Amino acid sequence: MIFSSPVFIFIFLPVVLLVFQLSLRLRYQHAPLLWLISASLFFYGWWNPIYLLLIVPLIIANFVLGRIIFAASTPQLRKLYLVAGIILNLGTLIYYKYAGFLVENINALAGTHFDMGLIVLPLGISFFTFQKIAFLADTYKGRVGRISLADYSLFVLFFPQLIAGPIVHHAEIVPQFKELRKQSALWDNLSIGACVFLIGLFKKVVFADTLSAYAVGPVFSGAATDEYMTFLEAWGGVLAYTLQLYFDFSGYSDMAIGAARMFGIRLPENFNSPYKSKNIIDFWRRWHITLGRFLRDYLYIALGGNRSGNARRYVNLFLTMLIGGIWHGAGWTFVVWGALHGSYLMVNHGWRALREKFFPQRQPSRLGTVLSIGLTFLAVMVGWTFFRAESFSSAMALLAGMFGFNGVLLPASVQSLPVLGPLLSSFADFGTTREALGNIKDPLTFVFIAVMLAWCWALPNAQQIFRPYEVALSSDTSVPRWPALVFQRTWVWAATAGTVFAICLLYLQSNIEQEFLYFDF
Amino acid sequence: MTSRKFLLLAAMVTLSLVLAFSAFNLWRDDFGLFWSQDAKPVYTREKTTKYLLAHRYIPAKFEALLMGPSYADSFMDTRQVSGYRMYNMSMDGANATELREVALTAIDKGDLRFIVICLTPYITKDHGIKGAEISPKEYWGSLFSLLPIEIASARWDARGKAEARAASTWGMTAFIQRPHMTWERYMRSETNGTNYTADLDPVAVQHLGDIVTAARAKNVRVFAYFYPYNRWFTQSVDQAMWQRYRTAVEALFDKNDVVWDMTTPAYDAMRTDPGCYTDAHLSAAGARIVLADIKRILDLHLKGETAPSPLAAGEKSPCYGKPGQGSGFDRPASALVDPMSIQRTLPAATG
Repeated sequence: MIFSSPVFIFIFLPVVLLVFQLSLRLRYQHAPLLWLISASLFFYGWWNPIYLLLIVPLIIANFVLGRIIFAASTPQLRKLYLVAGIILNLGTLIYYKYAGFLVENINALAGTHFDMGLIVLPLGISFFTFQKIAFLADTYKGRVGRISLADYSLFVLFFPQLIAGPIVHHAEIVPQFKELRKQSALWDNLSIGACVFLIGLFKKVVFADTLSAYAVGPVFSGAATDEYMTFLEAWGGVLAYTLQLYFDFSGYSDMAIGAARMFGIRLPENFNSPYKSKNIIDFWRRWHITLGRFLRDYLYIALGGNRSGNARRYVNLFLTMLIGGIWHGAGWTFVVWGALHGSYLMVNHGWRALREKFFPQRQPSRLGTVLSIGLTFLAVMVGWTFFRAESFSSAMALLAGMFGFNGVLLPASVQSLPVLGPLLSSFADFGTTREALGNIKDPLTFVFIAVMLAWCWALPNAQQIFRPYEVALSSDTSVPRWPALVFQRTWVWAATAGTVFAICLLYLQSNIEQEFLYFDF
Repeated sequence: MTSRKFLLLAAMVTLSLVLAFSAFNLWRDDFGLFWSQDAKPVYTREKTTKYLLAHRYIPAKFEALLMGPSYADSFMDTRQVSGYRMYNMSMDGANATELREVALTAIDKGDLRFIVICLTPYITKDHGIKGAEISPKEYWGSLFSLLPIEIASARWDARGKAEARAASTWGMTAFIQRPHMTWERYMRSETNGTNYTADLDPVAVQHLGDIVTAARAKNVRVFAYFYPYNRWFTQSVDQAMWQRYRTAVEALFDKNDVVWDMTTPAYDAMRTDPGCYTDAHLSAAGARIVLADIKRILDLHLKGETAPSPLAAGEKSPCYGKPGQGSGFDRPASALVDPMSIQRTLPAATG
């Protein structure tokens, strides 16, 4: 069951909300919690009930391990149980996610023919594995008090964040469970949560899915068959994927945050307009914030962070991003993507150190800021090319097209323009016989891409629009440039929300394939 | 404004918009699903459109179906099979499952006399609905989805283009499969030493068989032809795959069905003429030859009339030899008769 499916929007969510509200009125104080756990298990089992047999024992095992670590008498024992817990969780993840990849590479290197068969990746396993490891690590460090099995179960299972995050930290959500029965702002939570959910739904079904159908799929499939990528086709495809991934994942996160808010629970912010980033360090503070936080707190710092000098710090940065890349998927393209971002971060930190040394007082000009945003965006795009491409060679084919190695072929309609045409055509064509737009079905795709780029760069994000209502747990308190875009309960906003929902329904009912990209990770 | 009022107002706006848009589409009835009896062109979203037209429009207006993937779709103008009210139900990219979904809908709801199936390994290499274009939800979805908007846009785009999809109320589409690929590039891909192979999916074969079974059950005569792949393609085909495919598919038909093979030497004049193809697909001139041959077989088996093969004259280059020359609309549309204007005079098939 995905958030953007009619069964979720019209049946599951309303029923769960209704029973949840009724359960708040019951004398049995655990009723709301138990109801949310049951609903979350149903939500997870909807995809494939057999995997309930994986997630439920894992929850119980981790809870028990947490208790044992908590109660262990010596540091050595605590460490032993922690290591056992990490092996249990990572072992499960490695089996489901990486075994096939590992065996494939062993076979390629050793000439063996091991076969793991078909292993179906359980939904959300990468996300809930991180949550459980973080919980065990914090228990080991004495940062976790005694919590009940029900609290722990809901911390892992709470359906808005179960499948694709935000990756919730126990310290920020478990205390909220204890406040569930005290909430009184039912209609406020519903109206705010529904509006945030709508923004996410709109980003997902109108923007992300449309781009996928018209540009991303055709262009990357073309690159996978080693087709010759034209300049505009490659740019169109990679730009479209850059935007699709953002709207898809941030849309999902908005829906998760909105759905949770309907129950009076605040999830952490996961995106903060990442394509407005001025550098890669900034990007990783804005993109998939909860993953970045996990990698920093539980990997980078565990590796030593910046405590052992600059050289070691750079190595740690690189390793953290490399592992972050592998976390996203079992494939060499993800390794390359992680390595690229590791390298970007090393360069960025190095540049920052030089700048602080030689120009400590100098503030960037407006032009410099624009160029920084452009350069960061370009670097991120190059990374996404590897992230999405089916192979290294496909990614290289796309990059060759993007950077003009196949010439700059323009559409006939542009070439026939009076002055601009001949001027632009002088840059063109190394003798290709393909159409300029290649696999991109419709030239209007570029208009669509331009509109979405403007959306990313000019408009506030969902958390900024709803800032006065503290819709998510966030450290960013900036307000949008245009106060008119801050949400208020007026008839204009109500009409807008109603219209947006109608448009979303129109897209939902249409025959556009829906797939959440991060469900694969 | 209170939160409760806010939500109520937003819900009312949504409901109003949904109802207004649905009412407008009900009034338009682009697929003849509810009340309209008008001719229904295929503008865009071919699979969805033909699936919806198969509910009422095709069964009510036509007595025969031509079905297959793109090989039986592009340039296959069923008006050229004169004397028969034939709808081209072929769909670009369709496999046997998708053809089955549409064919069974039309066969079940209509009074068809015969079907003609284009046989290629493409339709049996996989099964299942590809994408989300063919789905029962599209029936009511036609009232509230993007499809009416896309059709309006395509209709606007098609103004004045006589031979474009806008003109075809009999299911013909006209497109060159891979516009970015020249004949020379295509030749390179066919002669690079790599054998063409395709899986033979037993479920897909079963789904193809379901069409034949459903047709027989409704007393609909079955015709089928092996698509005339060009010589270059045939030379690159994995022969073992080809034999497996032929054996599996031929087993679906019995003595009451008419199956003929357009890959035999009798068709070599066509199959060695680049003018008959755009790539592996037929050009307009190539399609004319295939359609004339379909008509010849239909006339022979349904009317008892014999006619010479369109290739009987033995021309070496029946499609003008040069690629591209046979690819355009080189025959005026006015010379052809809309199949819907033909009276249904055929006797019912006897199985």
